[in-house]
Amino acid sequence: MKRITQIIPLVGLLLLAGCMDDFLDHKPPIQRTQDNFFQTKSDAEQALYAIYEVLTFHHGRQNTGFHPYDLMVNVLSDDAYGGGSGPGDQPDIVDFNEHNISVTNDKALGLWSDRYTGIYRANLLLDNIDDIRFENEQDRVVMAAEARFLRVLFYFELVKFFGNVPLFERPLVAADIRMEQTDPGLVYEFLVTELADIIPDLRDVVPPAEAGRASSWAAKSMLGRIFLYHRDYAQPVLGAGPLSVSEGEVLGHLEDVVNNSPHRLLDDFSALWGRAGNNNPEAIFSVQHGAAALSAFGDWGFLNGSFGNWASQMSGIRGILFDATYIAGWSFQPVTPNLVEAFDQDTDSRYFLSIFDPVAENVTHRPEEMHQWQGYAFKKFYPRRADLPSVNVPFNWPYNRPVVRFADVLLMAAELGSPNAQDYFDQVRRRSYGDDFVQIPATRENIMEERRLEFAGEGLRYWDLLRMGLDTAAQKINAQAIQDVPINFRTDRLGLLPIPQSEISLSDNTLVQNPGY
Amino acid sequence: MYNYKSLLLMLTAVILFGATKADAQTVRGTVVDDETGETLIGVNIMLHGTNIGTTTDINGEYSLTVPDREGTLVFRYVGFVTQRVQIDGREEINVALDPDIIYGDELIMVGYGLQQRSLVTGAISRIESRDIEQAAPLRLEQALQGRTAGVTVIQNSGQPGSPATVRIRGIGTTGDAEPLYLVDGMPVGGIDYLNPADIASIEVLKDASATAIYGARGANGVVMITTRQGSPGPIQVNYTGYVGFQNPWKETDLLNAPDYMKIMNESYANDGSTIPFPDIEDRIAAIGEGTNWQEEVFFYNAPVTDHTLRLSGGTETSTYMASMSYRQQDGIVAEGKSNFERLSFRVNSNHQRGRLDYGTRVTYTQKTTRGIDPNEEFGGIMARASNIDPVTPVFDEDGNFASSPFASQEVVNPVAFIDVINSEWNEDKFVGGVFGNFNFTDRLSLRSTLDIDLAYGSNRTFTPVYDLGGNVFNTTSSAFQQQNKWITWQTSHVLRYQDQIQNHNFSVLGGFELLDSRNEFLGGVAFNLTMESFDNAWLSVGTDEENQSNFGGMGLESLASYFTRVNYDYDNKYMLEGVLRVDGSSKFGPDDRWAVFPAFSLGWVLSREDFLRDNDVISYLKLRGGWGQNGSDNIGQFTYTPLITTHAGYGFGMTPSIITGAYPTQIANPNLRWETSEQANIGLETAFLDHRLYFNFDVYNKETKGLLLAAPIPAFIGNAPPVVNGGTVRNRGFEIESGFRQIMGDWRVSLSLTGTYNKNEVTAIDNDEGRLFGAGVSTSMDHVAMAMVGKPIAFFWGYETAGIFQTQEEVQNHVNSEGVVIQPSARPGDLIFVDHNDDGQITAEDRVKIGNPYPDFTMGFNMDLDWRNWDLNMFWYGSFGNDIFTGGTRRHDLPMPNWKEDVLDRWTEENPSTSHPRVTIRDPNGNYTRPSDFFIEDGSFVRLRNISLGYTLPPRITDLAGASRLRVYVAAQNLLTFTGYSGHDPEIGAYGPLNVGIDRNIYPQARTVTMGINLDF
Repeated sequence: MKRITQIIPLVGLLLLAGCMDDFLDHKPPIQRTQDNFFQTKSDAEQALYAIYEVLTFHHGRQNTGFHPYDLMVNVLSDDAYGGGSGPGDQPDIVDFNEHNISVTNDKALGLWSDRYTGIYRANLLLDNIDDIRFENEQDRVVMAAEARFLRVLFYFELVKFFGNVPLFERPLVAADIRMEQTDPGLVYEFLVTELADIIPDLRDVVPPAEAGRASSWAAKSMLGRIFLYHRDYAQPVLGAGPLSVSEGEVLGHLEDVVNNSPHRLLDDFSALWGRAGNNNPEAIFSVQHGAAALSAFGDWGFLNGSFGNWASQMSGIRGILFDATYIAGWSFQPVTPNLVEAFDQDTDSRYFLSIFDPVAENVTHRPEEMHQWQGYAFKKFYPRRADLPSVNVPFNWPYNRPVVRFADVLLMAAELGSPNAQDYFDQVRRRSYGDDFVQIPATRENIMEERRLEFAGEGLRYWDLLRMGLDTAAQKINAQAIQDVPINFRTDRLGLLPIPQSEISLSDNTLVQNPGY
Repeated sequence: MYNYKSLLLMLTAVILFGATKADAQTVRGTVVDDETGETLIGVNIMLHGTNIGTTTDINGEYSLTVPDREGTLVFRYVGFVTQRVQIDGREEINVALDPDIIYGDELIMVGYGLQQRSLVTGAISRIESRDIEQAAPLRLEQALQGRTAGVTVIQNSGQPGSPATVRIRGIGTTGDAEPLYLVDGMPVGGIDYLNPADIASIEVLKDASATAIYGARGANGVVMITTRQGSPGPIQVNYTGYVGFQNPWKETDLLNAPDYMKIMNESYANDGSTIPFPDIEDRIAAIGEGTNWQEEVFFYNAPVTDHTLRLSGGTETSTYMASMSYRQQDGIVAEGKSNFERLSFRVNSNHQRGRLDYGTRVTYTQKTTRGIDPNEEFGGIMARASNIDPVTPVFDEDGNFASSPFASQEVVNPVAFIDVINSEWNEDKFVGGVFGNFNFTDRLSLRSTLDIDLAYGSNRTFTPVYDLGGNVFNTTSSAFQQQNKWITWQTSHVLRYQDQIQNHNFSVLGGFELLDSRNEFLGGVAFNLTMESFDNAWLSVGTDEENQSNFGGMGLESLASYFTRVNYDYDNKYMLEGVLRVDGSSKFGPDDRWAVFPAFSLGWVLSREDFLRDNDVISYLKLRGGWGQNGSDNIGQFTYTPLITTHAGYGFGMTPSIITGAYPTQIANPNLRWETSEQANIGLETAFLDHRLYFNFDVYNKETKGLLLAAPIPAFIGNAPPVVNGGTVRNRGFEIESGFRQIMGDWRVSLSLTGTYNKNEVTAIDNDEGRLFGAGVSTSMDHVAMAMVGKPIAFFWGYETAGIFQTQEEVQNHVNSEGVVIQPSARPGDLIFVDHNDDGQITAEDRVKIGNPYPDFTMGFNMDLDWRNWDLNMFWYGSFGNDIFTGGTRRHDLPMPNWKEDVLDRWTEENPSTSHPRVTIRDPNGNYTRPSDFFIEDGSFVRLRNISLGYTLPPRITDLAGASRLRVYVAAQNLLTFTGYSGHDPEIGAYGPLNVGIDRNIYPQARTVTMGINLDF
């Protein structure tokens, strides 16, 4: 009897030992893991929205911050200087403007890593979307198409900035550090074939409650943009191969947008801007920045978590005492006199809406606090009192940034040799000059000049300059050099940013630096 | 014939014989145990130098016949300190022997058992309840400070309830370096619920061979606390209590109003701007010295009181100990908003029935705390008090709180802000356990335990509407509530077999343990309260439906372990021990769930060898050494799997509505495992002169591998890097523990000295930067703390200065090897920075190690002096070589904060100082914005931590009350502090693994004076 009472507990202990793995296996109680995510339509939506969110990222993986897309592109062009409060304020932006971008430039790394974050999220959703249960199969098709559209946007911006980038369609894992860069021609081919593929899948009509989601018109418009950039820059400068999509096809898509889309040219240029102008009929695809009730955001430790338009905060001028219309900011991207003089200030209605001249408008300001200030700022996304967020002001300026708008489609179609080229060109100019409209021929040079005026401050000029040829770009950009601002665009760098040195090292030197760096 | 010589001889013989016979004397008396007062039977008493001796009888009495009443009687008894007493002509000599607690055959706690001290082969330090009582600690960790070598205890602040940073043998990780705390074998999350008076002893396991039996939790050392038990006998009642008053031990030397205005005027004048106080003379006449803000926020004579009542007793088969205690302490800053209150009850019982021993340990504690942020440079009370200008009064003419026209941002009237703080934490904690030990035979036994730790915590905060100027305002009242529940249970079963074959002694144990720990939390915040006061601040009182929010969730972790230990010794002289522990944790990745930790150690008690056995000088000599591995599982609960996080970061629609996106937080690493620590230790334990003098010396080398880091992956992978095991840290050092005790008649003196030296060095960091960035200070000094290979963890990283430019020529001559002027915007009076990489500029690449927050050497010195009924105890603690980064002033981003007095020695043209740069607001050279060694001060200090003087009333008086002992005493904590540090307090703890020793205006320690009594019935 005694022996049994001794044996039983010992055996019991051994049995217990066998159940250990159950005892130690826990599922996280309040968060999903990658294993149990991607199951319902709601999961797919959330994964898709996480991709959209990356459009507002301006601060890099290291939270070092302050490189909104349009601001950085404006500063690279002949439209703006770096700015800030002084030489120590964001010198990386000043380096961009002077085309003295070092391989350790933080903003370049931030631009690179933000876009790859979007690509990762898109690849992750596309990899898993087939496992999700959809009641309506159409939802799967549309969401996959939107994810691919956004992925195209991110890759397009990457290949414009850096030229030689790794291209992949699957979500990477920690072991994938040795990815090689892809030939730019193949990247462009990928972009256009993706767009051609998804155009039939994307929606033609996006309900107003979902304004901001990609439509087929957005894809068609971007196809035009990418095609033109490939034709005028990637092919001649980078030696990219020809695309499988023809100019006629692309033009057909653009004409489709012009004739059949719900988008049109607005009569009044002012209706495009300000919070009231968000998602107006002319904007075909915009980055959303303007939600009403997001007053709680404001985390300096997680800048990419904010939703507002940082370019607005960064472009405001300094020293405004109470003003009924305008709010102060951090005085970056001060406008060059060259851009100001390009406008016909008396007749062009766009001038007053694109350029802010505080002296002319009698707004108190302090030029001595603004680095490289020439007297002018961009106005399209300028922070205004009427749109002042209730709390956490720098994080919440509610101005959407159009990625492509109807006027651009008209001008692109004109550039591509549409039979209606002159008409499209005139439409855009008629809207601007109103009664003072005088027709000029729709030559390439005139179109490029018109684009500069139409899209001032929207982050398009630099790419247009490169499309005009490296020498032209060099001449126009370097002409903006003034005392203390030694701008030196070097043609041997092909207008590209350097591949961030840290990325090259972390890829175990698989990545190769760009020419000229 | 009468022979003259023979007569002399006969006379001498008669005298001698007579002297011997006629002078035979008796000495008698009683021998008792000094601690318990009980008589001791069988005490051996010898007349020194002779073989005359006796022993005490059943009543503890003796009677010894001696030739004369001269000479020395030697009293010897096993387990007690031998005493030598001069007879000095006395007929009755009563002796009280001290239990020999320093070295001998007493049992100490080792992991899962007890072992004879002399046979222990690991490095274990022990503190007795007496030492804990004398420390009269406000927090239990303070009793460890300086009394155990190898343990560094730094108080995080002087706020009541403020935790202490306890590190055993250096910092072994860039993560959580807390040691494992066990109370009666049960792991607990924190020990502030314990009443120190309930503790019988604390053992600190320091080296791997001692801690290996705790496997995956032992890498940072183990602190084992054993609570008091009852002992057989009639009921004993014991009361101890004290009341005291606390005051700040110093005030930092800040400027008064006249000096402040003078310096401000000079700062602005140096920049060529308009001076802020052109009417300085009139102002001085109006306000005199101005406001001393420190005085305004300090709570002088803050009271503290502590009472414990303990009952214990029992029979041969059943004993119990029940205690009840109450403690209340106010803090010395922010009267009414910084205090601590604790009520606790405990019942411990032990029973024996046949072959079964069983018992319970049960305690309940209730705690209430109100607190302010103790070390915070933006909104802390001390930060505001140190930065606000002395010109502003506390109240304005209307009697409202004044706001300063010069201060900005967070620097507002601290007294006004104290008014606005309304926050309280409550905790109810129940810790209980039962154990049973069944002896199958004399040799085989099984011990099983079941313990539970259940705690409920709640926090409630009320934020009123206020506007104090700067950016300190709140427009809507709000109430915040949070509830937490923690429950942990553990069960262990250990089978033990021991045997002895001739001189071979061995014992084997094998055990199995399960632990499960969960916590649930729930909370919310509501805005726009209908009733705006702290008493009414509950979530249901809010009216803003749109903005209210709530959260809730849980966390859980489990641990399963198997372990075995084999001890062998031959003749108690040669010892060998081997340990193996296998731990499985839910926190480790599923591919790597089980961790194995081995250890072994050897020992040799030389003093039991024949050549030393009867040595008069050396009474104990042991050499021991060991090696082992253990781990740290402080790696977070689900770090191995990428969790999906949701974030509301975008919006769609014409009237936009927010949408929530979801994405994985990081790339996965299913191979995530524990951090492994490998340690080798050699120790020498010695005791001399009958154990009156002892000296222990330990040398160790500890390597910790697999520190958690973010893996070095490139950004194009597109998500946050996975957490991997990628760093190593080395700690090496030595420890000294020594003591001396002597009894000289009515005097008894006992001294002990401990010293610890530890050198910490990071040996590898495998992430993309090769370094880890730590905490910064305020808005402009980023990453003041760093971890880099070749340097200690959390060292201070900044610019090195080389004096002050005295002339403009010196500025121009400060060039690099290519002749480039390094600091072109500098002016005379600015700091000279060293351009380490010789690139002609001062940039982040020129930052170097400018200080180390951890001390090189710490020391504790304890002295007990007893004379008849008086006792005096002094305990000194010293820390040497620790640096402090003075990060409390807002000079770098605000124009007009206050200064410390050392600014009066600033550089001016008339006073070419070499220690303090010129005052300037614009500061183009970055004197006040660059983190440099100008901000580093030596924080070495020596503190008289405790001093107490007590008097035990004579028995005839206490007998009148029926008491067996009544002792009254006065004591003081932190009575004296010697330090060169100019800030509030040199003891700045760790607020994060890479946030150590940065003074952001710390809440200082208090100097406390107490009076108390110990009463036994």
